[in-house]
Amino acid sequence: MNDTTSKYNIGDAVMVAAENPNGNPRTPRYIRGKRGVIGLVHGVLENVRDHRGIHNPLYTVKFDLSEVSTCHDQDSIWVDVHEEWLSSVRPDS
Amino acid sequence: MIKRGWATRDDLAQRWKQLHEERPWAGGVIVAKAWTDPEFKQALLDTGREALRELGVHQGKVGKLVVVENTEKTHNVIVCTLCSCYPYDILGDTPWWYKHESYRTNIVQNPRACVKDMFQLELPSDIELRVWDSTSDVRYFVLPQRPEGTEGMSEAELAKLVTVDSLIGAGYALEPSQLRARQAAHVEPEMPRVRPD
Repeated sequence: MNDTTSKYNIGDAVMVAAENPNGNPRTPRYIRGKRGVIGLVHGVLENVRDHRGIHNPLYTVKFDLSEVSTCHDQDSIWVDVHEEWLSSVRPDS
Repeated sequence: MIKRGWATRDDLAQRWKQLHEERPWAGGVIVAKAWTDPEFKQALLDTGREALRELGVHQGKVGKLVVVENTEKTHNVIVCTLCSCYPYDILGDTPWWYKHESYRTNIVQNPRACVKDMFQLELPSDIELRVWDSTSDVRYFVLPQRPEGTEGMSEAELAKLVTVDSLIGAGYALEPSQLRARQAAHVEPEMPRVRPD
């Protein structure tokens, strides 16, 4: 799907803001300041049952487990994050 | 409500009927269909809620539905670390432990140890474990693998093998022998109530 409203694409390397960028507060603490890769692009979702207003585009960001915890298993954590929380980083930088 | 004109007697009767209607649990219906109909499975994985329209189950309205498939290489587990987001509008209530802080903490810190300790799942090292942390706008459930020894079973029979835990990744779908053992022990099947919109 050609989604013109979303800034990032699947596979893009991103970093989550360490502090709330005055946006949607529903970003778990354990991924703040962590690096991941865009796994799914959802675009702008309406969810009127749960909250008011329309938020920025939503992504599911894939994190290596070792990036977000002290565990070194080769597993991954996939977390939903809104766009204002993300910035681009060079892969493996 | 009738006196104040908020609802008519017919509205209330309709709602009462909706809430008391006996329907098979959507989790079992959806998974059994996906196991037996590759086209439906693909539509479910690609479009989520949209694919449910043809099944006659509650489609629900809360957020976007994403279904993740367990395979021979990947095992998926769902959590909401912030609260307890879950597609309850389709699958009914969550198991009690889904909201428990120990699950919500441990599953993202040491997922393999967590599923082993809490659910007795020992995942082989060549299986990739993916934990999906929902933050409300997307609701996830797992499409479990079809158990062995289920060839030729009807959709209605297959649906009985689907447990609530298997849709969260906290277990596997039952093997037919496990279902028979449960039935012999008169263990009631899990049938969470779904409250229609």
